[in-house]
Amino acid sequence: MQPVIPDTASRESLLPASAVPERRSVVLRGVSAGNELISRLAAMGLHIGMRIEVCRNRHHGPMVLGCNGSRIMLGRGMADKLMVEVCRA
Amino acid sequence: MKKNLVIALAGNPNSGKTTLFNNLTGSRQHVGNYPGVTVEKKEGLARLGDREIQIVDLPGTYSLTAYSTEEVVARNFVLTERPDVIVDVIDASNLERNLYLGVQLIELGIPVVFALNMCDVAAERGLDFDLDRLSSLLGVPIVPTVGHKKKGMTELLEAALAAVGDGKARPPARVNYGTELEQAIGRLQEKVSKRTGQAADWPDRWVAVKLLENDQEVLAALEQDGLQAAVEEEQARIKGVLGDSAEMIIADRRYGFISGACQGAVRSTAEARQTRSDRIDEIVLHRFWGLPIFLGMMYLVFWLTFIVGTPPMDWIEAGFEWLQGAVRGLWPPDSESVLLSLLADGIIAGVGGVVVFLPNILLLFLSISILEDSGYMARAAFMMDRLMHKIGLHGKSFIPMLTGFGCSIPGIMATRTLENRRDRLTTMLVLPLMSCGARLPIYTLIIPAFFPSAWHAPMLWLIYLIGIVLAIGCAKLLRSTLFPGDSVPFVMELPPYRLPTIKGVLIHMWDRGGMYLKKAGTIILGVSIVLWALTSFPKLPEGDSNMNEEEQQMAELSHSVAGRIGHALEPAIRPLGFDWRIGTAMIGAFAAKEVFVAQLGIVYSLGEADEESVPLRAKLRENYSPLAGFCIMLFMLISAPCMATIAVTRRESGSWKWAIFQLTALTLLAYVITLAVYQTGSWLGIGI
Repeated sequence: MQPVIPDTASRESLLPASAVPERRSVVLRGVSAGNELISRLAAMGLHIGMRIEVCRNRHHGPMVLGCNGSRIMLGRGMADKLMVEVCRA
Repeated sequence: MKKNLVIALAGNPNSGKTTLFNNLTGSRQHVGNYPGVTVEKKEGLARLGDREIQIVDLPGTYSLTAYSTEEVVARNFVLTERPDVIVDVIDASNLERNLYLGVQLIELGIPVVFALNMCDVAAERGLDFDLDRLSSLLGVPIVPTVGHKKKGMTELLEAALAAVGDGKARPPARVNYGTELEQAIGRLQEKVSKRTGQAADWPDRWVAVKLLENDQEVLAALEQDGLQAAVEEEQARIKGVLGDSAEMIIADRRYGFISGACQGAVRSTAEARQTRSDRIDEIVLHRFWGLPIFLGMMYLVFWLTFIVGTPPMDWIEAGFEWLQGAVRGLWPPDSESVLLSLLADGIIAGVGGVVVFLPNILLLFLSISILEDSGYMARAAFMMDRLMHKIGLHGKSFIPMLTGFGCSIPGIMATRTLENRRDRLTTMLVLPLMSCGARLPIYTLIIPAFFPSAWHAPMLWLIYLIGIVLAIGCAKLLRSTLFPGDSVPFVMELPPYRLPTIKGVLIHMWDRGGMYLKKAGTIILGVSIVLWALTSFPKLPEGDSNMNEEEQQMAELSHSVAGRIGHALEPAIRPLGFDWRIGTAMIGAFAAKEVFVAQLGIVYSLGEADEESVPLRAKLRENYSPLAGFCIMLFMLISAPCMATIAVTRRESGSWKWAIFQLTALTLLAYVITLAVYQTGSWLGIGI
């Protein structure tokens, strides 16, 4: 199923990174996890407000995000926790 | 003489830190293209003019939180040893993220120099740096370097010396965390200024920021100062005013500071496009091809290790046989010399039986280091994540386990890259079930002795498979009993593919091979001599000459210390299909698994104890059933890991409790499974 792509940026239009199809650019808006994990992600380059590309997302197994040229692999459970806003194509 | 200068090398994983370290010190360090290669700090000496500089290579980290073992190692070194200067190695093509660690290093209050590494790659990607401007914005000297071309090394050392030199270097820029946070930092700074204990040497501002960030280690170090309430109050105030946690805002401000600096000093002329690595990943991580490629790679590793390794093994073996013959030739035939027996039956047989496997070990580590350095290892973790998830672990645990097929010790060391202690302990405890290289001699002795040649390969696979299945089962069991809890979110960087350098791969292979040879020359040599003595003494009193030669030998062995221990063990191991001779060999195997083969050779008094010796196999065939042979392999696969493994588990888990638990649980498991197999097999009449 194709996720709905919001026209305007609002908190309601956020969706988990795991629901974004491949090759889409998104902006990380929030992480619904403990602070420790948030700082861990930030240190790896995934910080709030960052523009991220969804490089690989098969509907099971881990996914790969691209940010600033590096490729970060995330477990599915983790990807569910990243709330992103899809950029308009 | 002036005290040696100490430079600490810090940086993100994959930033080229270890290559720089090798260039600076000329040391032969292994360079990997897999996050977490430097799990322990390494030291070396560099020279600039007539000055000697001590360089410490810290584990690669993304941050200075206390999240994983490597980060703690890196941070504690900087905090407690106070190096004179920190060189932060920065991957130029991923500047912002690398600077995130950089600004935290600056906060530690030690002079910092940035090595802007892999400048050539960044230039190819269309990045253009105004280094003077960047340097003045950050307040830190920056030296461009290209690690693999050894460019910028002298300049880097000179900059590092200058940074310490006069103590008058300009102060580095400071991240401004915004009014609200700065006030909170100021208040906390005042409160922590009178702290005691180990935290007394740490910079005030850094301590205050870390407290706001909820850093557990810093909180614990300041426990007796009673700051908990004040910290919580500040955190609550910030959350109330700014709507986000202090931790998040701090990360945000740091990135804000970095991106401000980069905006003024970095120009990017290239659009983000699919890189070569992405194109390789398209194939390697493909939904259909991915798994076959992965399985093919694993098959290749085993093929290289076991098939390509066979001819050199035969040569080494022939060499030791020749040596044994040559030594025997120095004595008259039928000599009863104790020295001859010690040399030929004890030392040459014992050590030779082990050195024979050097080609296997070298080839296995060659394959592993090619997989690591090329970047495929991280993809293997990706491929295995789903499967590992089913047993309550995640993809990252796969790498230590694969290494465990070579040797459990580096495998257990590699578990340091797992951030979560439950994951780490689970992986560590089941790791010895990955059949290590040292157990291979046992299989290659037993399998041809009892099974037709068409069964050899499948039998070997079966044994490895049993180990893997048991490891999966045990991991699942541990996760649902001793280490319950949700599996930890899995995040890992996929490094770009790089062509492994021949030098890097050979260094790694040779390091491992050297360790193996050292083990053969020390532990195994020592154990061989002890076992030889135990099986040779005390001697039977002279006289009883109406026995034939073979009976005489058996009587002598029974009379020896090893024979007596074996006999004492026999009632316990009889139900597994083992006799006292297997019992004596099992004791030797605790020192090192390979010793089992050497020891069986010694107890069967054949003079030559290498696993290819046909008479030994014939003797085994006469004395045991194929079922018992299979049970020997099964028991040796599962039971007590060797002494060295136990010692490493003790060190890495931090307590004897887990080491002893591993030893007891695996031995019990081996006993129960072997008992079940032998008894069921005997009852059904299979292989007897």
